[in-house]
Amino acid sequence: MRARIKTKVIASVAVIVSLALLASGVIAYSYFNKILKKQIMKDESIQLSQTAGQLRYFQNDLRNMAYNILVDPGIQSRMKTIYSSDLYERLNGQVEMSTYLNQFLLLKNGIESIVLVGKDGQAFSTNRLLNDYYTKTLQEEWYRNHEERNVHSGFSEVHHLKRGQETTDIVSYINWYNPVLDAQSNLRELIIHVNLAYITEAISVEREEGYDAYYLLDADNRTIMGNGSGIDEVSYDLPLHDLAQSTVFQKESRKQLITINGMMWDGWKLVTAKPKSAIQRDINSIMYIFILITVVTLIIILLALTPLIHNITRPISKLTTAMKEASMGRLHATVAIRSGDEIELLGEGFNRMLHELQNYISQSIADEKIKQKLQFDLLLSQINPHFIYNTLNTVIYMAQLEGNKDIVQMVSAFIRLLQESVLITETDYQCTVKEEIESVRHYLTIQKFRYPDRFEVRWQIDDVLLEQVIPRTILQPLIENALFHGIISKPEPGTITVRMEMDPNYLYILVEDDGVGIDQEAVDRFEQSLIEQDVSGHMRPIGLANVRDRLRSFYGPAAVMHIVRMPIVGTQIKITIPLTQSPGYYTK
Amino acid sequence: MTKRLRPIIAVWLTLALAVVMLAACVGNGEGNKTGAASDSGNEPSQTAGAETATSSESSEAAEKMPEDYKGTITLWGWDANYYDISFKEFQKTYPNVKLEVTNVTAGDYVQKIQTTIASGGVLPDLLVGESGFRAKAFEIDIWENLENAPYNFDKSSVFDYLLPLTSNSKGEIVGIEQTLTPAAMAYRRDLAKNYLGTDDPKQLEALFPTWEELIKKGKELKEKDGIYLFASLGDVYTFLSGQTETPFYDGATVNVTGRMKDILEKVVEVRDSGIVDKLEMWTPAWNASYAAGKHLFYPAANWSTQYVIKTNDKDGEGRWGLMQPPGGPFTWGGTTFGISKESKNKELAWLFIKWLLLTKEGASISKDLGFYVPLKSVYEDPNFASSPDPFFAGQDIGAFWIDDVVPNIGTLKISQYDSVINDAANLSIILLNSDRKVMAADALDKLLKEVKAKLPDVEVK
Repeated sequence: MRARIKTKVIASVAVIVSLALLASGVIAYSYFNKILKKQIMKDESIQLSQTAGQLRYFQNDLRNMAYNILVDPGIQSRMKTIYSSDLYERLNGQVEMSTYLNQFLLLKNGIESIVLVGKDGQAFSTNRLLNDYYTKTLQEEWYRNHEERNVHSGFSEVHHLKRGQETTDIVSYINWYNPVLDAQSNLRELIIHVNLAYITEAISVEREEGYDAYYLLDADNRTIMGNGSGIDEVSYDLPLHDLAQSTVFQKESRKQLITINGMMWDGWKLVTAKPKSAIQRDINSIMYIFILITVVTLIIILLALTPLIHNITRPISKLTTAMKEASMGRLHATVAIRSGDEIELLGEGFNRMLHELQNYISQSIADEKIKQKLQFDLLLSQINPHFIYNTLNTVIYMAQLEGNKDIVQMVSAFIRLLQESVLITETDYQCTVKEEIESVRHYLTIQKFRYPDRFEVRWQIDDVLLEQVIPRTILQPLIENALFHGIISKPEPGTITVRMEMDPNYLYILVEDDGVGIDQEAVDRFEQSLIEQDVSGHMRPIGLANVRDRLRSFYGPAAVMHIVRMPIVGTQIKITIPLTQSPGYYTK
Repeated sequence: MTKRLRPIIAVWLTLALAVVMLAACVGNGEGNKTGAASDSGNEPSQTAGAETATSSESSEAAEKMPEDYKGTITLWGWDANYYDISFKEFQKTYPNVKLEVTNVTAGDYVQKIQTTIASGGVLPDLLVGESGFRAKAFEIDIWENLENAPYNFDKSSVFDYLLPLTSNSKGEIVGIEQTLTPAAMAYRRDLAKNYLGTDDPKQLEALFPTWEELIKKGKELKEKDGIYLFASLGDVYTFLSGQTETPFYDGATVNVTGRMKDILEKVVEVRDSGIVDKLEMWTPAWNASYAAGKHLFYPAANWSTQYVIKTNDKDGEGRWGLMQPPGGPFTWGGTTFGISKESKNKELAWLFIKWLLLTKEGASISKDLGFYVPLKSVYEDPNFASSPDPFFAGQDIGAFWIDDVVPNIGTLKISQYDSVINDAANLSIILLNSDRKVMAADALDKLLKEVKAKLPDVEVK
């Protein structure tokens, strides 16, 4: 089966649109891929900076708190009391110091304890009962390590405080007391123990899944907090030691995107390693959106286009259908196309073409019918003329033997009449006026025997007209009509006048009778049958209508035939034949 | 889809239930009230209280299903284990109530309240009042009076001796005790068996009937076996100050001498007999002494078994016992639940307090945690308190606390000055502990000076 135009259009539109979308998608994707990757790296860095900012804020908060404590006069006065010579004073001083330090502690979350260390290494903390314990912790490695760093203030590595049964992970902020402030002061340093869990929590709120590693490192790159399987190249190539403060470093390894943020204080660094596969996953998710958009767009375009294309192709289908019908012979088929474009014109043209075709065919059929009828009539008048001729000759011979002149005369006339009829062939439809008159005279001879003394024929024809050519056998039916419908119908004898006149263009033939006359209705019907051929009716087949039809066949509308009712009695039949036109079968 | 449907279904079910219950209300009329009241346990005020006053409330209670209580209660406290376990049980009945705990230790509590108020911060819905600071905390005007509507707490439903301990100076009940805090003496069964020949509490009580007897026996033990009776002078003071019935504040003057003179003299007497180690109470060293096996006796309240003894002597199953101390039992510690005046969840907070401390259901959950709710009626069942504990070699410590200790606790009135005086007194004891040459008179002298300095507005003698 042939592809329909609609299918073709839709298919080609679909192909073009999807190719175009695909191409733009591929270009857009490859373009966005780069941007997205950059953006993700930037996001990563920003995210880390935010976390770092939080930590820095926390660090600053701690430092400020430490400064406040160190310069607090209440602390200094209690420090003196603690080192009083009186035991009760000392004990009381410790109690009050704890209560006093507690005020600072209560204002902050995440602080395990605040410890003041005297010059003798004795610790005084927010919890007096643990003072001895805190003193002992100053022998631990974390504290010695910090001492070795030899900084005025800073954070220790992660260590544990074990109070009673529970062990807590701690990062300590240690700030030396500057003796310049008060040389007499017994204070050596301040330690703020921070709950590691609090820092971890602050970070993990910000932290998403999907990291290979997430570390918080201290000044000596020891892990304060960290998890994950590890960083590919942390052992080399990363500027962990000489990372300037307030810097962010980003590096792509083969499998990971490593980000280091050194924006925190005291050499703290946040290090993350995000697997590239995770980044690619993020990007891919956008690619899926691209594909989805492309597919959806395609579907929408096709959904929108299909009815549009259908609207355009429907008139064409209509036209095709109508053509098929027309080719099967149904010429009345028309198409109604209101598309307002070339196809509408095409449809109208088609309709017009069909209509003309239909007219032509019906005209041809009508002409064919006339032709057939004429031939039929002629055949009728030729029924075996030789047999009749021979028979009639025998009749003449027998009448001569009998001596009946009338019979001889009448049959002789009849034979002449027949002979003329026999002469008529398909090609010889014409004769001269003289021949026609001769033929009519034979006819009249016969009728005179039938109706003796009933009628008289007058000929008023100029001799110059005798050689004019007219269609054969047009006078005889007119005279027959005048005789049988005009004169014979009334009791008195009548006269038939045949006249012929001529001007340069036309030959006029007039046949008048003074018979009963024709009624108006018959005249009207005859006039109408100029348009519509009337085979039946009041006239015989080879009669007036026959004459009229033959005239029309020969001359077309140039020849005219009228029936006129005469003023008093009788009927006149008037025929006008053009002379300029040589007679022959006329076709429109 | 289902997620969206669920609340709709819940709402319809609730409506349907409400309609059914309303119908029941109309049908039963007055009779339904007892049914609603039984929901709140044996609280007499609901059943015996004025019918007219409670009728609207009980019909409201009948309409509100446990699921209808929704919200988050905030709480400051230190006893995470207790809150966790009890609240999980509470949520089985009230699934849509949540608890949010902020860890604040007892030592910091009053300071935390004060700094919060000063900084314009928000106090939690539920406040707690530990015996050491509650008298001071109760004087801050942040506590709801629980005798008022809508709480309508009935004083007569709890043990009488608790009433002065749970009210402020105006006599308003502002807290409900989480547990009775009967206190007696814990002892090391292995040491007792070894050096005294018996670990039976009754026989030991017979061996140590008075402090005099105790000092005598203690000296023998120390000299013969090198065993101290006590780890800290603070332990001795805990007994003695618990056993006194003389309040610090009689409503007009702070009578430090009247209360402390005898106690300090007794403390020094015990100290000088050499039966007390030099550890300081609550320090890591003191905690460690439980497992060390060098000290025979410790003061112990019901909460001590869980929070002190079992914690400090993890491998000590079967080697501890409880007995009456010389001088009789006392009450030690204790924490109340109270409701903050500015709370927006007072209804939920009270719902939890009432359920945990004033119903039979809450009582049995508390008991599993070693807590004995203050509601008298639950102990009408003689078997309720019973709880033999393998850690204490099968001794029925529940029965010991409720049957042997609680009935013998005397009442002691507390005052807003108590925590200041107690702090100073504790310091005196530490002084006596640290410097064994200091005498009772010196200590009292310093104590008086300290209290006078801390309380300049009251007459101190």
